[in-house]
Amino acid sequence: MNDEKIIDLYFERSETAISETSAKYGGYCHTIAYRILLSNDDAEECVDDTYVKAWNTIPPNRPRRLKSFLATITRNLAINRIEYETAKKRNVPICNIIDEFYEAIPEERADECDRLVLKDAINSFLSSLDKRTRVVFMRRYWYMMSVAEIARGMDMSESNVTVTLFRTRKKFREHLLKQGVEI
Amino acid sequence: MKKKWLKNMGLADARYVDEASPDMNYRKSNWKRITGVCVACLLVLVLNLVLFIPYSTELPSVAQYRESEYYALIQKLNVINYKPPNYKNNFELLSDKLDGLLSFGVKGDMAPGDPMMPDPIDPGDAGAVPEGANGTYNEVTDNQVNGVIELDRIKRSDKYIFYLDIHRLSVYNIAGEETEELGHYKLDTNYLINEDVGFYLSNDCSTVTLVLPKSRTLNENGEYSNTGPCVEVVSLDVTNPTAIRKTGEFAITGNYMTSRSVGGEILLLSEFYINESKLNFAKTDTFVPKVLKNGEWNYLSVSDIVIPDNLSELRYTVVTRLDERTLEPDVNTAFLSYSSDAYITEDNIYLTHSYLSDGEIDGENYRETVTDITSVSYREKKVLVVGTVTVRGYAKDQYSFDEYEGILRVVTTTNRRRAYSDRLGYFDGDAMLKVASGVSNASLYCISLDNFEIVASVIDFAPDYEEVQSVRFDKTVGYVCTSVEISDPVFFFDLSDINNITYKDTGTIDGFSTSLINMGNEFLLGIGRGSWSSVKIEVYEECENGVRSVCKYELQNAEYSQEYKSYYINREKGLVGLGITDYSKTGERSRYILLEFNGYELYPIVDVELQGENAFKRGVLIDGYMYMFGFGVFEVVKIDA
Repeated sequence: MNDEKIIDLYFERSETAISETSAKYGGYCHTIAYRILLSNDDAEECVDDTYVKAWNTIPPNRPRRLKSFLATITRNLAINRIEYETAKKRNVPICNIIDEFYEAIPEERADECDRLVLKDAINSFLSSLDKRTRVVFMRRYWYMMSVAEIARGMDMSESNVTVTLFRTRKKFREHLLKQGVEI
Repeated sequence: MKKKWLKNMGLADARYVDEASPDMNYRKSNWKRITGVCVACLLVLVLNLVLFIPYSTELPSVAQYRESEYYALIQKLNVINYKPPNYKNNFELLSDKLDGLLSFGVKGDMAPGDPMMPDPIDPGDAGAVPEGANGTYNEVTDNQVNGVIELDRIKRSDKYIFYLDIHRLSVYNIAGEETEELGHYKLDTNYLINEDVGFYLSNDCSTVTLVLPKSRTLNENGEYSNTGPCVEVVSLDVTNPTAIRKTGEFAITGNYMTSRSVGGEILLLSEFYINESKLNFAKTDTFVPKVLKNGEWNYLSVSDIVIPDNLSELRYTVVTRLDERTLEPDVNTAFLSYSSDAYITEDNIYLTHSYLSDGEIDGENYRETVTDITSVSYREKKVLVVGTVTVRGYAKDQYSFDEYEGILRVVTTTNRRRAYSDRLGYFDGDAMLKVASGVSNASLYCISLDNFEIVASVIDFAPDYEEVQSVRFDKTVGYVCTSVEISDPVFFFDLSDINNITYKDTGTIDGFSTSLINMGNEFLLGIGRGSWSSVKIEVYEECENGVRSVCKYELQNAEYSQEYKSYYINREKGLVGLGITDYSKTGERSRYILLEFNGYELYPIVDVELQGENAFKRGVLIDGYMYMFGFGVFEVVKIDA
């Protein structure tokens, strides 16, 4: 079923909307959640929470891209769960990615900043990248994929991926500084 | 905070999220990979083909020329012209080049007795001098062999002097200080090779035959084409010196070698060189000489060409006999072989070919120059190859040969040296000199003309590193001057008994002689250098213990010509004349000097200014007057010699 029809099911408040969503994007959301949480059970819970949130937000939202809409929900839920786990002092393997990404953030910009400004900064940065670099960056810091997974999926060597990520983080840092992002 | 930032990545636009989705395939497509592999394999294959395909070693086919009358010749030339590749394939060629960048007369037996043109030859009578309207012939040229007249720029009768300078043939009356030019004939000087130009005067003094070697050939349209050199021969009626007219012409493609006038015939030797890079069997003129007869160019017939069994070089020596008056060729015989020089007697032509030969002595490889001497008989009905002999070394010029009583005497410079099987270090100076120049020396050979075998020899008679500068034979005596740098010994050989050849020498004396002249009364005159800047004329005589210098005349800061014919030799009066260029005074002074030898000393009796190249100056003494000719000028001086 195409995304338009699935969204229509949500608007019709049909319960088949969830099953259709699960059939089409269940595995996708699970993968996202699993990469962050590294636990099937936790990932399952996260995916279920994703369906709930989708049911609660559609309508009134009518996402243009259902896939990324669901992926964002899953990702945020998974990251929230990390916060919970670290708060409980549980081992969270994803922390290295967090630390890695945080290198790109200028120190003086480490505070909160306006959400729209930030969104604009992030997206303008992403648009400045070539497609391949952007995909590597997104797969690492959005999809939380490991370097090895990214390398396999992009037909690149792991060292190539690592170097690409390093350089892109550096550019991201410079970009944020130029954008004057008030964090 | 850190996690917040990670969460902030969630602000990324959805399109970027979708784009980076893990299920999007960004692997390089297989077909590109396969194509890349295929292209790489193809390149490797092509490279191997280019590098390793062996060069063809097959002889090119000439079957398409089987209908040509020259087919047998073409087949022979095809074999000799074919050069097998030096490398097996491109890989070897490139390897060798890379390695270089990185590291710093035919010996062929001519079948003797090959018969050629059957036209009968009338040898004529060189001795009889018919009285003609132009007077009686008087020989001016100091010919090497009696009766065999050599080309020269001056000839005379008892009435006129004929002199050829660069532009024209002039005829002068013989009137002492009243001498004047009566007439002249202007030469076509286009592409003329001046050094080889000369003429003959017929016995009845009515015909001058000009020999005009040229670097280009006149074609049927009357234009000079760049197809190669030729020798033009022009006959002139000089019975009326004021109205000289052309009466005949002949030409043959190729280079001029030498010529003679014998018994009313002109014997012309030319060399036709087949240019390998231009050789094209579809174009006959690239491999067969042409002759100009009656205004038409015609190729030598294949029956005129002698092809030896063992052919090693693409050169012809062409022997042409022309009637002196009509220039009608009696004989044209082209020997497909070689010749670098020729010595001509009344009956035979000796053609020479020098080349490098490798050998081994006591286990050591060596290399030296050897010379094949082939005798060709030309005075009989047919031109025949008589025999061939090989001697060590190379001969300097025609005077290095002499035929006397069935023996051919030859003097050569030998130069045996070690072959480059191993390189010498550059610190080894003496050894390098030996290897580089060879241990040169001089040798004398006596060859029987019956069987062409060496019957006597004197090997390496000079000091090491010496080279032959001049030779002169006079019946049972031979004279040789050798030198290294600027000092020379002169050797006197007693050849009266070839089974017991003896010789004496002067020991090392200053200077060397490029020409030796037997002045009679056992005196030998040498013309050459005293030092690198002086001209020396010296007289030697044989004495009990050796050879001694009798006297000498030396001019400092002067130049002379080594052209033997430019010397005036009068043995009867002990005179020698030659042109010199004197640099001792301010400016260059071009002169002509005449020296007299009175048995004790040499002293000048004539010294006049005379313009022109020393090689082209000529002088002759007639009835007490010395006539001297240069470029557009002449001088007459009365002397009391």
